[in-house]
Amino acid sequence: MSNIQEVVRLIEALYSPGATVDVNQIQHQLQAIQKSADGFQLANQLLVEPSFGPNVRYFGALTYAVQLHAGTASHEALWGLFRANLVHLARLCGQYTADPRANAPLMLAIKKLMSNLSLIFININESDHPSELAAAVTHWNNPINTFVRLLAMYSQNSMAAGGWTDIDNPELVQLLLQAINCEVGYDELLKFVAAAPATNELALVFTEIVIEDLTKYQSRKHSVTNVHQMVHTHLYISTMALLNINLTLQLSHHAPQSKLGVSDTVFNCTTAWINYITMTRHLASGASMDLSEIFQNLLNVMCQSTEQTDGFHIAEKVLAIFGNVFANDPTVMSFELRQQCEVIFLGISRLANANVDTSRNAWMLQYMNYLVTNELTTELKDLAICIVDYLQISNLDVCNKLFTTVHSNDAAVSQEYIRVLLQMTNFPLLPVQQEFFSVRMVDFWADLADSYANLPNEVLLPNSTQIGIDIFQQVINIYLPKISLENKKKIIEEDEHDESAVHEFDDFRSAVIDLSQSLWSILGNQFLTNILIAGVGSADASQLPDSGKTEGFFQIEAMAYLANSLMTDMTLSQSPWIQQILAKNKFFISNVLLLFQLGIQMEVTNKTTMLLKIDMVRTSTHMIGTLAGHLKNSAQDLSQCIETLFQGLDSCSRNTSPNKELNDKIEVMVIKAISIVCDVCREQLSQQYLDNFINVFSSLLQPESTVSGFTRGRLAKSIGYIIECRVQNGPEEQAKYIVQIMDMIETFIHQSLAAPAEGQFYRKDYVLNLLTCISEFGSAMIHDEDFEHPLLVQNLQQFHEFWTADPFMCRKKLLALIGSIMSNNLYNKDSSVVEVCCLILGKALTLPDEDPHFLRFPMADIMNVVLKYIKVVELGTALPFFIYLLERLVIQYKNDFTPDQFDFLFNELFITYYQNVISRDPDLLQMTVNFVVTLLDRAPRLILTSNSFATFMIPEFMKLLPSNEKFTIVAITKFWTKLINNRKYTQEDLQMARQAILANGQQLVYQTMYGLYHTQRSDLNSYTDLIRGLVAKFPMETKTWLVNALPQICDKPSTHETFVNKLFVTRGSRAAGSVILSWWLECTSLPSY
Amino acid sequence: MSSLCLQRLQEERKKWRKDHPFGFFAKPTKKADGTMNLQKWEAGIPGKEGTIWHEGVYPLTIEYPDEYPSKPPKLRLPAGFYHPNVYPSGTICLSILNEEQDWRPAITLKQICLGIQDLLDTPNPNSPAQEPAWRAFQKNKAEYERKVALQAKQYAK
Repeated sequence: MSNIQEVVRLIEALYSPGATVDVNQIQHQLQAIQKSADGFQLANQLLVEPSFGPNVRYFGALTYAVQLHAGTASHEALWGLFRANLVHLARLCGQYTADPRANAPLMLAIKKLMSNLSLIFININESDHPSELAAAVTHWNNPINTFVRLLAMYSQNSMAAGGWTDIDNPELVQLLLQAINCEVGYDELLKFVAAAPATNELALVFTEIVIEDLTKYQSRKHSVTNVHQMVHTHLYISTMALLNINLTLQLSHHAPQSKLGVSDTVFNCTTAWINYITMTRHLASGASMDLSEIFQNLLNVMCQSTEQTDGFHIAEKVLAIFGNVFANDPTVMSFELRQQCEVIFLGISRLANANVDTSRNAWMLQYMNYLVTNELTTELKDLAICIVDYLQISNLDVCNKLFTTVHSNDAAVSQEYIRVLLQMTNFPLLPVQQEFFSVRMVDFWADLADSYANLPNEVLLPNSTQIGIDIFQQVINIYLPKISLENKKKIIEEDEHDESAVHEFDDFRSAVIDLSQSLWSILGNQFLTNILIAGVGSADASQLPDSGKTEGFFQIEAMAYLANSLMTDMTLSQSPWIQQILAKNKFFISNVLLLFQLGIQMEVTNKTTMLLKIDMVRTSTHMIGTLAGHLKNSAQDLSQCIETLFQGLDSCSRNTSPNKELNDKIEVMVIKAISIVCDVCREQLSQQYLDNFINVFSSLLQPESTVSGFTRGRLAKSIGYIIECRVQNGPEEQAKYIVQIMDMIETFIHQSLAAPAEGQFYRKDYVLNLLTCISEFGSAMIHDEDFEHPLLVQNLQQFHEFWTADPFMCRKKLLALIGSIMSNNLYNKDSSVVEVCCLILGKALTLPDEDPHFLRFPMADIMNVVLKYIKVVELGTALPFFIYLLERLVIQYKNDFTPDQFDFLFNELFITYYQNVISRDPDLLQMTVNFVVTLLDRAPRLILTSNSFATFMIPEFMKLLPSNEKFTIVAITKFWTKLINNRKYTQEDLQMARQAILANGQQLVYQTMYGLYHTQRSDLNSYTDLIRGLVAKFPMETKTWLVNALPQICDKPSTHETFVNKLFVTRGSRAAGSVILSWWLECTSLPSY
Repeated sequence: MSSLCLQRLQEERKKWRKDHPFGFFAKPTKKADGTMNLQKWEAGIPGKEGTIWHEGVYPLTIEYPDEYPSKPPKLRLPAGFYHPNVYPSGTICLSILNEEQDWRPAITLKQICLGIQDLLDTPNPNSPAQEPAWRAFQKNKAEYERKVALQAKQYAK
C-alpha cells in the first residue's frame, strides 16, 4: 500500500453505505495489511491522527484485534499491543469525556480497544510464562483500577508524555507500568464516578465488556482458571463498588432525564455480571461472588420507579434482570432477598412469622395498574413470566406448607397465599392477548399437583385431601372460561393476520389439558370428570336462548374438550361409572352431538368461523370416538351418534364450497370417528345398521361424490368390521354382504374401464381408490382376536370350508377384474395400481391356515397373475411389488412348492430380466438378493435344491461381491453369510450348502477380499461378517484360499502373513473385526483413527 | 438414573413447557403407579405448513438412556411409519441422534423435535432406513407423495 491516505480512502469506502465499490476486494486488501508486520504501525497511525473519522479509528482498533487473534506475535510484540491499547484508550476516553456529545462517535473505537484489553487481560493472567511478557508485568489484576488511574493521569496533563501518542515514549511507558497493577481505593473510585457522568459511563462499559468477553470465552469451553480468581479478588470488588455507587447515589439523586441515560448502562453492566457469576459459580475454579447488595439496591430502585419520574422505565429494567435470574439460576439470590421479592410481587409471605411490609406490594399493584391501563401487554407478559418463574422456585415449599406436617406452619397464611395465587391466575383480561398470568400459572399448578401427588402418605395433613380438592377445583373453574373458544374468537377478530396469538392460544388450551390430567390424579372422576360431564350434559342445550346460544356451546366445547382428554384412556365398555354418570346427565351425548351439528352447519364466512368450526367439529368427533366403548352398551346413544355422524359425512360429500382444504379436514375428523365407532361397536352395528351403511357407502362410491379417497377407504374398512361380525346366520349370509360390497365396487370399476379412453385417464385415481377400498375391506375382514365373535370361533371350520369352495365365485370375479385392469395399458404402467393389486392378492397369505377369508387365493391363481402381467408392467417401479407378493406366496406355500415350480417362477421373474433390467438397477438388485436371502432363512431347501442355485445364484452373486453400492454390498454379503451359517438348515441342507462353498471357496474368498480391499471404511462390517463366517465354518480351507488369494490383491506379503495368522487365532469371533480392519488399513495405507 | 440425567431432564421439561414451537407437544409418560417417568416421553411433531406432511401430527416416543446427556435419546415413530429415514421398527435415522455422528450433550429437546420436523420433508437419501419409502422417494415421487399424504390424513390433528 503506497501511503496512509490510500488506506484511509479504502476504509471509508468499505464502511460507506451503498458503496458501489467491490467490497470483497477492499476487504481482502485491508485484511492483508492488518495481518502483515506493518499492521501494528498502521493501527497506531490510524488512531493517533485527529483528522481521521470514527470509522478509520475503529479500523485501527480492529487491526490490533486482528494482531492479537493471529497469536503469532512475540511476547515483546504482545507487550507492545498492551501498551498501545492502553495509551489509545486513555487518550480517546480523555477526548470523549471532554465533550461526550460531540465525541460520541469515538465510542466505537473505544469499545473495540476495551474489548482488545479484555482479551489481553485473559491472556496475561492465563499465560504460563507471564514473566516473559515484560519485566514489570507478570499479571494484570484489575483493568478498572488501571483505567481509573490512567484517565486521571491523562486528565492531569494530556500534553505530557509526548501527548499520549507515542507508545514507546519512556515517560509514558513508566506511567503505564505504574497504572497497570495500581491500587485504587473506594474514595478514589467514588471521586472518579462523581467527576463526570461520562467517566462513570466509560468505567461501567469497560467492566461490562471485560466480563462479557470472559463469559463468552468460558462458554466456548476454554479452560480458564487463574483469571476467574483474579476477577474475584480484584475486578469484582471494584465493579460491585461501582455498581452500588451508581444504584444508590446516581439513581437516587439524578434528575429523571439523566437517570434514564445512565440506567441502561448500569443495568446492562449488572446483567453481564450476574450472567458471569451465574456461569462461574458452578465451576470448580469459580469462587463465590455475592450479589446481595446489588440485588437489594435493585429492589430499592425498582420500588422508587414511578410513572411520574421515569414512566416505570427503571422498574422494567430491574424486572428484566430479576426475570433472567429467576429463569436461569434463582439461587444466586439469597433466600431473604427472594422473600422480599415475594412480598413485593404478592403482598404476602409464605412465612407465618415474617415481618411483612406490604407497602411495597402497593407499588406492584400501581405498576400493574399502569401496564393494564396503558395496554402495555408485552410488559405485562414479561412481568407474568418473571413472577411465575419466581413462584416455581418455591413450588415444593408451597406444597409442603399446604399439605404436610413437615413445617409447623400457619394454615391460614398458606390458604391466604393460595388465594392470592388463584386471584392472579384469574387475571381479569383476555388470556394470551392481554394477560399472560393465567397462561404461565398453568405450569405452576401442574407442578404443585405433581408435587402433591408424589407426597408420601405419612407426612400428609389429615385434611390434605379436602384442601387439595378445594384448591384444584378452583383452578379448573378458573381455566374453563379462559380456554373457551369465545376467547379464541376475540383473539382472531383482533387481528386476522396474526397467527402467532392464535397458535399461542391453542398451546394454552393444550397446556390446560396436561394440567387437567395431572389434576385428575388428585380430584378423580368424582371431583373432576363428573363435574365436567355435568357441565356438558345436565341441561338441554337445544333450549338455549338464541342470544346466548353460541356462548353456551363454547362452554360445552371447553368442558367436552377437557373431559375427552380425561376419558381417552378409560375402558368405558366395562365401566359402570360411565353408565351412572351419563344416566344422571342425560343430555351429555345429545349436547355433544348438537355441538357437532353446530360445527358442521356453521357457515364459513371468514377466518374466525373457519377456525371455530374446526375446533367444534374436532372436539365433538373426538368425544364421540372416545365414547365408543360406552356406545357398545347403549343402543339408543349408538343409533343417535351414528346417524348424526353420517349426516355430517353426507353434508361433507355434498359440500361444494371453494374451501376444499377445510372440507377435507372436517371430513377426515368425521370419518375417523365413524371408523372408531364401527370398529368398537361392530357387533351392535351388525344387527340393524348394516343395510344403512351399505346404502351410504354405495352413494359415496359414486364417481360424482366429492368425498376423498381416504374417506372411501376408511368407510370400506368400517363396513368390513361390521360384516366381519355378521356371523350368527352362518357363512352364507356373511358372504352375501361381502359379495354385495364387492359387486358394488367392481361395478364402478367396470364402468370406469368401459368409459372412453380420454375419460379413463381422469378416472385413474378413482379406480385406484376403488381398488384400495377392496384392499381395506379385505384388511377389515381379517379375524381380530380382540373382537372375536364366539359364534365364529365355534363354526370356524364351516366358514373355512365355505370360503375354500367360494360358491359365489367372489375370487373368480375379482381375478377377472384384476385381469381387466392389468391388461389395460393405462393402468398396468402405473405402479400404484400394481401395488394395490398385489396387496389384494396377498391379503390372506400371512393368515393361519384355519382362518377363513374371502381373499384367500390359491397358489396357482397368484402365480398365474404374476407370470402373466410381469411382461406388461414397468419393471423398474412394479417389480418390487411382485417380489413382495412372491415372497409371501413362497413362504405361505413353501411345503407345496416343488423345486421345478420354484425354478420356473424364479426364471420368469428374475433370470429373464436379470441382464437387461435388474443388474442395471441397484435397487432391483438388492430386492432380488434379499428375496433369496429371505427364502434361505424361511425355506432354505427351496433355494438349495433349485437349479438356479448352481447355475445362476452362485455365479451371479459371486460377481456382485466387489460392488460399489452400499445396498448391494449389504445384501450380497448377507446372502453369502446366510449360506455359510444358517440355523434353519437340516443335516441334508447343511451338506448341500457345504458342498457349494467348498466347490467355490477359492473364488469366493478372492472376490470377498478383493471387494473388501476396494471398499469404503463404512462398508467393512458387511465383509467382516462374511469372513468371520468362513473362518468359523471352514477354517482349514479358508486359510489356504486366503494364502492363494491375497497376493493377487496387493503386494504386501508380510501384512498378509500377519493377517492370516492373527485371523485364525480369533476363530471367527468378534475380535476378527479389528484384525480385518488392520489389514485393510495397512493395505490401503490409510491412517487409523 | 444418574443425578446428571435427572437434573438435565427436569431442565428439559421446564424449558419445553416455557418455550416450545407451536403445534408440537412433548411430555413425560406416567409409570404404572401414576408417577412421572422422565426417561420416557410422548411427543407430537406437526408436519411443516406448505409441505405434503402438514396435515398430520406424528406421534413420537423418546427414551432417554441412563447415560443421557452423554448418550443421545432414542426416538421412535410408530412402527411401519412411511419415511425413507425411518426404520421399519419406527426408529429414526438422524445424525444428531447418533452418538458416533453429530450428537452433542447440549442438543435440546426443542432442537431434536425441530430436526425431526425438518427431516420429514427433507429426507436424507444417503441414509436409507426402509426400502419402500426410500425407493419411492428416489424413483417415483408421485407414489411417494400420495402415500405421505395418506399417512398425514391418518395422523391428522
